[in-house]
Amino acid sequence: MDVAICSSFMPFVHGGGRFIVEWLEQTLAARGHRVERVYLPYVPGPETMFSQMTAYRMLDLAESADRLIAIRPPAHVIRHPNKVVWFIHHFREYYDMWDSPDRPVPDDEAGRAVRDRLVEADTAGLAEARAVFTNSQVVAGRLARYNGVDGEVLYPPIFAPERFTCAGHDDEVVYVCRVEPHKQQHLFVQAMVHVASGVRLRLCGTGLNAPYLERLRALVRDHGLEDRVTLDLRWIGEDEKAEVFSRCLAAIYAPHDEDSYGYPSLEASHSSKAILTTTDSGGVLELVQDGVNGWVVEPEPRAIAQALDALYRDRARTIAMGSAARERLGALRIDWDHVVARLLA
Amino acid sequence: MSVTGAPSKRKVLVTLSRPLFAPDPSVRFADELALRLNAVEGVESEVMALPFRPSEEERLLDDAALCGLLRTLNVDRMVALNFPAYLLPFADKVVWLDAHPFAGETDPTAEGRPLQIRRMIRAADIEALSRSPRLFCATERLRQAMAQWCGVDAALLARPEGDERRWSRAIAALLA
Repeated sequence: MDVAICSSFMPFVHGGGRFIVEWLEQTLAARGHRVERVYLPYVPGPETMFSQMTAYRMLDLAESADRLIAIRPPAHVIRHPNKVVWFIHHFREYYDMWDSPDRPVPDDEAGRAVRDRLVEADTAGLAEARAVFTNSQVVAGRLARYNGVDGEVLYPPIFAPERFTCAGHDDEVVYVCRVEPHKQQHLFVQAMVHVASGVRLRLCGTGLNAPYLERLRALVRDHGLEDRVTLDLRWIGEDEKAEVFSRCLAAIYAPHDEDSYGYPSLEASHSSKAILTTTDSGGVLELVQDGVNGWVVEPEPRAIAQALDALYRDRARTIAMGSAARERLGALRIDWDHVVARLLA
Repeated sequence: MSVTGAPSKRKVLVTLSRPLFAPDPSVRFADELALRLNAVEGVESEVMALPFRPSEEERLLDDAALCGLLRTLNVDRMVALNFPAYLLPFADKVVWLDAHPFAGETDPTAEGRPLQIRRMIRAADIEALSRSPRLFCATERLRQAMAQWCGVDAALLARPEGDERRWSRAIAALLA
């Protein structure tokens, strides 16, 4: 089958939004399909939102591919007679985050008209699809609530999960992902002020928000945490990442209100490592069960500190929770065979 | 505490239009160009390949308009390699052409192309190319044809085709 995978992207920004595209591309190609990855640029903002969506709409791939798989919005508005949407998020500032400070237009007649037209366009694009999948129950819930679309949850796996193994358990709890305010790395640095055990914290990753990076450095410096907190603020390669997960005590993934469980959670699970997250993490809570395959605590430094201490002090339970994390992947059918079967059905 | 952080690099986006599921030499060239740009200290580069069906004349206007409606961010310089990718608006854009679907045509109805399509593409070209800080053509023939087509004054920059000295010259010109 000739499959076009279409997704919006931000040049030079690498992360989950690209992984899902590129791993699906490699997986389909490995199964004998011809695959073309179509990355289209998109710049957020109300001024050009509809004109950019019009450009997506004007794309004519009907005769170029047997199937179109649309992933990151607004790729779902591309027309194709055999379109399947794997919907990973809305433009949330016009949806569930409308009442937040991030709302890009005023809450007046004109602003609400922009919002309503976007919802109409999204709904129309989704209605054209032969199937709509989502990356989490959270996103499926929003599709049902705002667009009246019934999306099937299809959890995105990671590529070549056999890379992630368990080589032991040292004293570090690691947080490996982009370093951005909504990932809440600062809470974990602040928590290290309150820990009473020998647990150590390692933050790995880079980010575009320079003030936030500096804030983390200042937190470590101002609280004298240099001997217990490692800030490795750079892009680390896949091999190095696998090595970090393989030897750590446990892993953290605690974004604020994120749509899906996040690849770091999967990487930790494949490495048989318990996951520490927070009650406000959104889709992560579909994967992490408190006390089973990790800890779910309030997004507050003292509560986090207690969990970090528990991970360190009750090592047997931490190791058992790591094993449970790996088993959880099978229970949720997080594997490529399932994904390919559903997307090409 | 160990703190490391990579310094930010100059981001160069190589942009082209290409057909899907068809071998296209422009894709291979773009990939090699990005590879060579990445080898320059302080530069990172990647390719953005937009779908395009060059054989379908009736789609030309749609595809040209489509590129004109797209926007991009987080890029320091765009290097656009062909039509209609160079119509994507961007302030710091270098255009390096080795062909153009209309350049060289003097008869308004040449090859059956309707006059209206020619006029609209030409208007889009004038708008886009006159705003680009640099326009290069790979051959003298194309350079003259582009001047005739839309009045632009391009510089000559041959495609290197394996010649290391030409590659060095080209990379320097594209980053200047």
